[in-house]
Amino acid sequence: MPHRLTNGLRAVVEARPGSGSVAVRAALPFGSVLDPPDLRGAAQLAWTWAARGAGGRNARERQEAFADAGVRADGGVGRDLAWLAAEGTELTEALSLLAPAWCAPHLDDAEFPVAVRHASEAAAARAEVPEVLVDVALSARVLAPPYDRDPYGEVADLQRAEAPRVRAHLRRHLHPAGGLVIVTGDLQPEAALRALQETFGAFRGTADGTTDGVQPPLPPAALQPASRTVLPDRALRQTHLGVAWPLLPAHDPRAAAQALGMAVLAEGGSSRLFTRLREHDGLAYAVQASAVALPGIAWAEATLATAHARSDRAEAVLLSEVRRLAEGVSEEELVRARALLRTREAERCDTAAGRADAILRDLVLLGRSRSPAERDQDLRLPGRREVREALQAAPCLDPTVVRLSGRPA
Amino acid sequence: MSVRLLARDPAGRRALRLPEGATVLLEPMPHAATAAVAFSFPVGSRDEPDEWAGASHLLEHMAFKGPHGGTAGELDRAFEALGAEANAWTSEDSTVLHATVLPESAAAATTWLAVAAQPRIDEADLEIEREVVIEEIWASLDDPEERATDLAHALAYAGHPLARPVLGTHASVAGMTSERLRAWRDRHWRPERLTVCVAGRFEAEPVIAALLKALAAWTQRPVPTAAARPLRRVPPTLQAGRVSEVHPAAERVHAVLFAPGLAATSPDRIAAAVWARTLGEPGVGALHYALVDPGLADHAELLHEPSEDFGTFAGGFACAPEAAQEVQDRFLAELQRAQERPADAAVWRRAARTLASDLRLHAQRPAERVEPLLRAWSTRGRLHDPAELAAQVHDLPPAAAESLRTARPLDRLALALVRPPANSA
Repeated sequence: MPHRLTNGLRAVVEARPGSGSVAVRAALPFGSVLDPPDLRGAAQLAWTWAARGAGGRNARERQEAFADAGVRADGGVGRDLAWLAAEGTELTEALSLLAPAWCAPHLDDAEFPVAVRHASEAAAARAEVPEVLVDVALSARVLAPPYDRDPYGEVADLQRAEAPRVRAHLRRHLHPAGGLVIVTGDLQPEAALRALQETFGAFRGTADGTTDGVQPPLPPAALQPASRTVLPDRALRQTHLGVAWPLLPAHDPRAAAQALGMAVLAEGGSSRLFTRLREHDGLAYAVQASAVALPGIAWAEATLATAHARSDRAEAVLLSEVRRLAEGVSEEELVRARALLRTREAERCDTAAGRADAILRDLVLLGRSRSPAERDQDLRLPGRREVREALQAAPCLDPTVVRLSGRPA
Repeated sequence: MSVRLLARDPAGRRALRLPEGATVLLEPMPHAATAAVAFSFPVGSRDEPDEWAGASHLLEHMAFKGPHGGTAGELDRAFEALGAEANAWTSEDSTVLHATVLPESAAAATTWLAVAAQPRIDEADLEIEREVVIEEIWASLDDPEERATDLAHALAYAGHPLARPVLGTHASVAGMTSERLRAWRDRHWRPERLTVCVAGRFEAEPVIAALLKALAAWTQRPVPTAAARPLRRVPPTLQAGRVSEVHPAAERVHAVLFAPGLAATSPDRIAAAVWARTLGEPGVGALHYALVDPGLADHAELLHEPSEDFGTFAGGFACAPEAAQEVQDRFLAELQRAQERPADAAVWRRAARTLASDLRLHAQRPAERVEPLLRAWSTRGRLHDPAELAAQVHDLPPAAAESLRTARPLDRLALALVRPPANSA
């Protein structure tokens, strides 16, 4: 049952008796899409800075308080969403420790250089990982600006950032409008709602008079035409490939049928990609493909790594399989895909955190949350015809390809 | 012969012995939405003579190729018709095949895992799978952090089979024949060496009935007289030292270090785990506040890993090349400081609480119960009880680590560093 806190935050409370823990998720529409063009990573840096002290506790005191309470806490910034997460056994304490990051971030000048170092380290560490380089390049070519930016930003921009500008950026956007907070697990719903009101309900935003405290809406996300990119080669034994193509968005009534089709392509040991590329041809150890979604749009990403000498063949096999998907799936494939996805849905419900993540995703992409039974029912209904129609509505005709070639050291 | 009860606990966990000699561990989790089933054989890379390096891992890859008379892919399709997420892992001391299913499919998943554990090993299948494992080896060699881990193993356990990667080498995998792999299977994947673990929501009787039926159908294969003999397991002596290597694909410095710890049979292993967290737990430990919190390193940690006959304090860091010396100096200084005085009471309490909390949180998912249940049984002959363990950890005083601290285990470090080429720093 959705609720509204008095500050406008949307709240979902779901009791899951016997789960032995509670999970909290909170999210705001704030991310790299709002980064100024000359300060890529501004949202990441601002969020990192806010975590350096809040509610009268510095970074260390906050981390120690979480540990004292036995609460696992986390947070981060993506393209369009900034989020907080906590798991533990005691809800009130988790909420009272988590909420100050939004309600009362210190943004001390003394902590700004540390936040810059943290954000720069995180961005630099990603630049070493070939899978990440391919993923970043793929997103940059699939998504139209401003969604094409990597949420971690650019080290050069981060290192010349100035505290007043980053502070103003965060204050302009740190506002309850469009925010969500979810609690699930072993809890009493009425008490949980009261605790939410007392903690996240006190979040009023930090608009400082430079704006009216009204956050502008995020720009709509859109996809770019297909392209092919070859990244500068690196001293790697393997060549890494990434392929992307548009899908039906999550709110489309055919999305569940499409998910079943994608599972036939890429989920499990009997999926088409695994069977062709690994079991039949031995071309790759791991090959993945999955749907990625933002509000209003979705696309598929498939990636693999293989020895350089075999990479042309691997790419040809990968592309032939993703293109063939629009022809539809067999009944046997559909039965397997449905069973596999239903098990995954059940597994999400094994933990409070898994269920909280599912609710968050539903709220962001669909504007409402589905019960486990409704999510299960969505997977039970589509037949072969519905799956084929969904796949033909978003066929992979001309995919975007990114290639990071290895070269012998 | 009948099924024999070996142990049970108040939470309803049971250990059983089947007539064929297999052991069964059952953990009912009434609130779970799934069940996890695992088949474990006590064989891994430490059992392999040099010329057999990678045999356990390659055999694991062959499991899902299916039984004699079947075709490649049949087994995968059978698992997935159940909705099973089936997979496998190989470590230094065990090989585990596992699947997660809806509760009503637990018995069927058990049946199919029993089929997977009797793989045919055809040369044609093996030829493909060798290529797949070699790709896995290439991926590992391309990863600077994994390379640092391999170097640390080679340094710390030189002359011992633990020095080698679990995957084997390109040469050892390329040279593995189907005949040799069948011998490895016939010696090690036998009913009397099998432990089956089932955790989650399931009905025990159908699962046991399915298992009894499946094991009765296993082909009776004689133990090879000479081939595939495992090495005798000897506890390793960790050798201190330092090694550094330039990695052409590295842009950061990656360090992995090992120091001697306690075996899983040691009564002080829990104290060792908490003590390691006072140093290495993110947000709690001294390494975090010395290196990560000020932004010098993107990670720095230390944890305690107990095995059946030895233990290791394992840790490491990653940072920008220009910060590497300072990070290394501070990291080692914190290890020294931790050995020179008892842990601060508040830090100890936090470390204990994070460990207790992790034990409780990880006990929610049936799939995460398999490994601790198997390990507790194989190393200590005990049914793993996360709630009991969490309570013990929660109440453990700092004095519990004093004998460990004063033995100064962190003086005997094997440290491996992987660096970028000089011109990329």
